[in-house]
Amino acid sequence: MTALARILGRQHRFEIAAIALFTVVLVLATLIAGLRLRELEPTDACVDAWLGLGPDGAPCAIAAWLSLRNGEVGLLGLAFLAAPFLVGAVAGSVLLAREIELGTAALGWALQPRRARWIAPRIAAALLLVITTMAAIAIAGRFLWSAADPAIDPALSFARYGLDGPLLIVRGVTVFAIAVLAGAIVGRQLPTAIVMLGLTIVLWLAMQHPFPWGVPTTWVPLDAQMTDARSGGRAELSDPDRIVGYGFQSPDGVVRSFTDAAASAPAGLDDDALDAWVRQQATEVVGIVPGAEAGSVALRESLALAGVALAALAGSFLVIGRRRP
Amino acid sequence: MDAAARSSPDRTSPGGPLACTVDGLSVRYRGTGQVLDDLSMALPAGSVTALIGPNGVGKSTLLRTIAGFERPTSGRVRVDGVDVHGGGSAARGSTGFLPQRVALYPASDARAHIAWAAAARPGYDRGIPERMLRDLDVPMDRRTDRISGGQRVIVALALVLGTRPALLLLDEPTEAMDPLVRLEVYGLIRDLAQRYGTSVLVATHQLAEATAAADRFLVLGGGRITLDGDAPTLLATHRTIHADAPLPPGAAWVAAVPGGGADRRVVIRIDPDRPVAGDALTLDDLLLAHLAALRSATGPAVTR
Repeated sequence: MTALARILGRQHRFEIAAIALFTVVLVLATLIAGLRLRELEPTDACVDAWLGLGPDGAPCAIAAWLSLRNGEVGLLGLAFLAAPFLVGAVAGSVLLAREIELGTAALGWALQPRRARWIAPRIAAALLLVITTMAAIAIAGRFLWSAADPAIDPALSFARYGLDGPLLIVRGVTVFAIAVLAGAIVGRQLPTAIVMLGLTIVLWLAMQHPFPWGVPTTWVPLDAQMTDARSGGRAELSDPDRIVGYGFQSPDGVVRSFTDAAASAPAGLDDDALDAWVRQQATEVVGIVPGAEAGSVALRESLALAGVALAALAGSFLVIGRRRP
Repeated sequence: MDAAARSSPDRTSPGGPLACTVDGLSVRYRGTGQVLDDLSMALPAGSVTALIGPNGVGKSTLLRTIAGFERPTSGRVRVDGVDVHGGGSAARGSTGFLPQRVALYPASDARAHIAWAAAARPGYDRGIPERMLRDLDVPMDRRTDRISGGQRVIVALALVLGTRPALLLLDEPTEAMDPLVRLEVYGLIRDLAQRYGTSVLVATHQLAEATAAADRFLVLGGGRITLDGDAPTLLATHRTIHADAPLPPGAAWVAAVPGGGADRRVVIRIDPDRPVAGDALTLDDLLLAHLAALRSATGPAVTR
């Protein structure tokens, strides 16, 4: 394994260096931002006063904290969103495609007649890199988000969903597995990179709008959802629930779109009158998955993505097994 | 080892046991059609055989199929007594295959490659590649992207030889080498075949160099082995002529390769009544690689 790690490490040194650099910079930036947020963290009374939930008048130095939280930390949030895609795609797309394209795979197959034994240690080594990297990023993320949203329990809120914890690691592994499969099928580095660019966009969009994964939607009046909540006695600055729908709920409990709800309105109403009529007949509601379900949803998504990753890796074994040297 | 796969013992040749037998082998690709057509051949254990034929005739396909990387449409390949396509990795494990397009890890040196091969393959004999590289003055501590193309092929060949295969398949291994190194490599192949009883089947155009190592030649044409014999016999009994020539009376045609048109074929003829020894026919004249050039020839018959 040491000999293989050395030879693979040299072959993929630029990708390894890029991933390491990205990780080190992101983790360091995260640590610095997290420590700074903790330094500037306002008191509960200050946050309550700023939100208008508590008595006014106490000296409150929240501006610098908010500026950091909504500025630099917001940008770091984007990096955390991108991390599993960058790390997974970069590590996975070259792993097999480069060996097939350059011809080193043919030599490996000449030495090792069982292709599964050729591919398995490669995937294991790269997987170790991806998991280690993503774990470091996930741990740093937990440190940062707990400073940015002190009142939030990640298991009870969607506010920072997918930006830390095991789900971040599973997402990285899934993208990696899909990239490995793409490389095995395409067998060339540049076309694989182009394919992965397209797939990354699709996966990115899919993961930014996660399915409730079987958790039923709860319909609540819009006004009630807009009210700030408290968690553990502290005001929350981020909505813990995930909004997944919007409509108008009639007294019989059926939720309809505005157009459907307005279809039975008397003829001749202008826009304002029609709006007022619909609101008179039905309650404006939002469909939410409650924050309390966040842990359950993350677990379900992790399991689903792990299934996808396993299928993709199994597919890679299959494709490599049928390739001509 | 799969008992069923071994149930039928290998045939033996008059000279001894066979390392590989191919019976009625056909390979057909979608799109390109029939590549190998009911091909049969046998390789004696410990022999070095050169497989010759023009480009595209199916040499690589034959080697890949024997190596187990290609599944035949019909027919059977047995290596060391095991059905390659029914015996799984047991048969493939006793076959070493160096494909035409093979590369080394550019940022690593030969020593790292040997360490990697030894780790990847149980029972790997790292002494073989180390000795081979030392004998051929190939630097073992220099990155492989900083040694010559010929040296890279030698390293790849040495790595495969370290598996001590019962059957070694080489697909045009010396293409990137200069003539002296070719001779050295073929000499080494012969030496290894003798020392370890390894049978070697080498696809090549370099017939002159291959003669230094090969016990016999197989000519592939039309999806079959069209000629099978040792070099001295071929020299004495064969001529290359162009097929649109009227055949000399009594000539026996043993090989035919499709030429530039339906009526043009380059053939190799056995003419026992007119031995060509002393007829200024050199081995190079016989070079079956010349078939490729000759097949595009037009005009009157070419007879030498």
